[in-house]
Amino acid sequence: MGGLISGRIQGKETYDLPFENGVRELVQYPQKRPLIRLTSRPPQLETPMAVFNEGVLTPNDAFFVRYHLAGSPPSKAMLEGDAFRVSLAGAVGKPLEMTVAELVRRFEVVEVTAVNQCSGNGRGLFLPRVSGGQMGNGAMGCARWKGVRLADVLKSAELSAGARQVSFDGLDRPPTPGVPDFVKVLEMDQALDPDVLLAVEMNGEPLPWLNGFPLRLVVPGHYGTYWIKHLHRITVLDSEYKGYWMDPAYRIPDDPCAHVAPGTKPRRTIPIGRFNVRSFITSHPEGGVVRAGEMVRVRGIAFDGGAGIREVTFSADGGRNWQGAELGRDPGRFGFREWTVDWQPGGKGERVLWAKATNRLGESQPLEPLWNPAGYMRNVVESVKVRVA
Amino acid sequence: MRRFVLWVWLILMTAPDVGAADEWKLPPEKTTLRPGPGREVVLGQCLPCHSADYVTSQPPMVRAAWLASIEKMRSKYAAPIPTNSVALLADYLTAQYGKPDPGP
Ligand code: HEC
Repeated sequence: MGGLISGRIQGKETYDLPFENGVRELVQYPQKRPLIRLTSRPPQLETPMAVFNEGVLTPNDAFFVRYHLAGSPPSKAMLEGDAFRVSLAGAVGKPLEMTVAELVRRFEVVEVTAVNQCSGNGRGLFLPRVSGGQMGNGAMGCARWKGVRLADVLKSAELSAGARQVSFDGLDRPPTPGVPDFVKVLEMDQALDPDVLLAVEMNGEPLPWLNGFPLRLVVPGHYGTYWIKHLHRITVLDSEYKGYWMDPAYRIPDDPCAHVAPGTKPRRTIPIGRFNVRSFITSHPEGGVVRAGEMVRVRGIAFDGGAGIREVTFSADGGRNWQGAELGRDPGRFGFREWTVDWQPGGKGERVLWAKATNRLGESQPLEPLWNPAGYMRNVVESVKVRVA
Repeated sequence: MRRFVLWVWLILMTAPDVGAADEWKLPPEKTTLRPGPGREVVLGQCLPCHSADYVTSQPPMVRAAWLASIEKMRSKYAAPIPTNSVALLADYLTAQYGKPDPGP
């Protein structure tokens, strides 16, 4: 599953994602360490799997980057100091407009540890393959987000009686007028959820430029498509928003597991929402070697859409036997939960390692991948093949 | 002497700014497309809105899938691709970044 640094293209280090046409350059961007580059205009960068073994918080300089519109990221002149303002208007009694400094002065500053994950994380692993951003499983990360509650800001603007939805627009701009601006919408009850933040800091530092400086929406438990970066316009709506990036983009089959038979189209779709349950082995890369006869500590992470992880089990024999893992410190229900297991590999040969998580609602991960045409919400039990030598 | 002081002052005042400006600069774009008939047309029609790696990182796709992708660019993103260049675009993309249709 995890790729390995595998070679060089024209003198640059490359990273081999485990699917056809998966060789990528490792490229260093501002405020970032070398990351797996998927696209350059706009920038899309993926985190190498080994980073997730450094700890349950993903360092800012390794956090993945996903933009849609080639007018991204916005320039320094648009983002710094008083040049940047966020406005709140629409179906409200008292519209607001303020700088980030005013925002954090005026409203209570709070913190949440939460995973952000791209809707298409793992799309490159879909079979049959689907078109779209071809990434491995590194379009995810967990950080401590600090900011003000969206709910507090909305309430201070005095919502109108008919307020139904809230739309969010960032300063990233379409390359041509025909490309729809990237605008996303939350239902009013979601927008008033006290866990939803207008964040200014990530892991104790200002947001990196490529992760939304100076202000981004944080919607714990929900896919990254809602986490609007460089957030500058919030609009309260009294009717249902219709826009390309809500419909037809970012839709999943209207089915409890968001899937259809491979190669077919869904009859009805709904907007993508919360994460399903996922877990990863981070201590051992694909093709890694362990010593026969020695106890091996296997480590990884698990997360879900906000119920919290209840259990992780581990198998080294393709699912015939499962062994319970020990869970690490509880980061709160939205974070990466660390797990460890002590495994006795026995005799020499190849082993396929599996980790499977279950959340507090009893939801778990399928052993066979589920398919949908957009390549969203992969959550099959991932495997890592190691050699016992 | 006065001129020398002015220079030192200018260097001291501008150097940090230049450094900071670099922090806000992206590495160069990757634009390579494989040589082949139709390459110039793809460069002209497909790169105004995004880099070439949007195209080159896709899994090998059959011609019908490339045609669907071109059609999506036209209908969803208003790409001004003339109808009479669609076949050439699809030929290039299928030859360089595609795979043959499965047999009957
Ligand atoms: C008018 C602007 C525009 C033009 C011209 C354009 N595209 Fe796109 N293309 C887009 C946008 C917008 C996206 C979505 C970007 C994102 O989500 O990151 C996209 C995404 C893609 C993707 C990724 C898969 C997908 O559907 O999101 C492929 C492949 C692609 N374009 C191929 C092409 C090809 C081939 C051409 C030339 C025939 C082309 N594009 C011309 C705007 C354009």
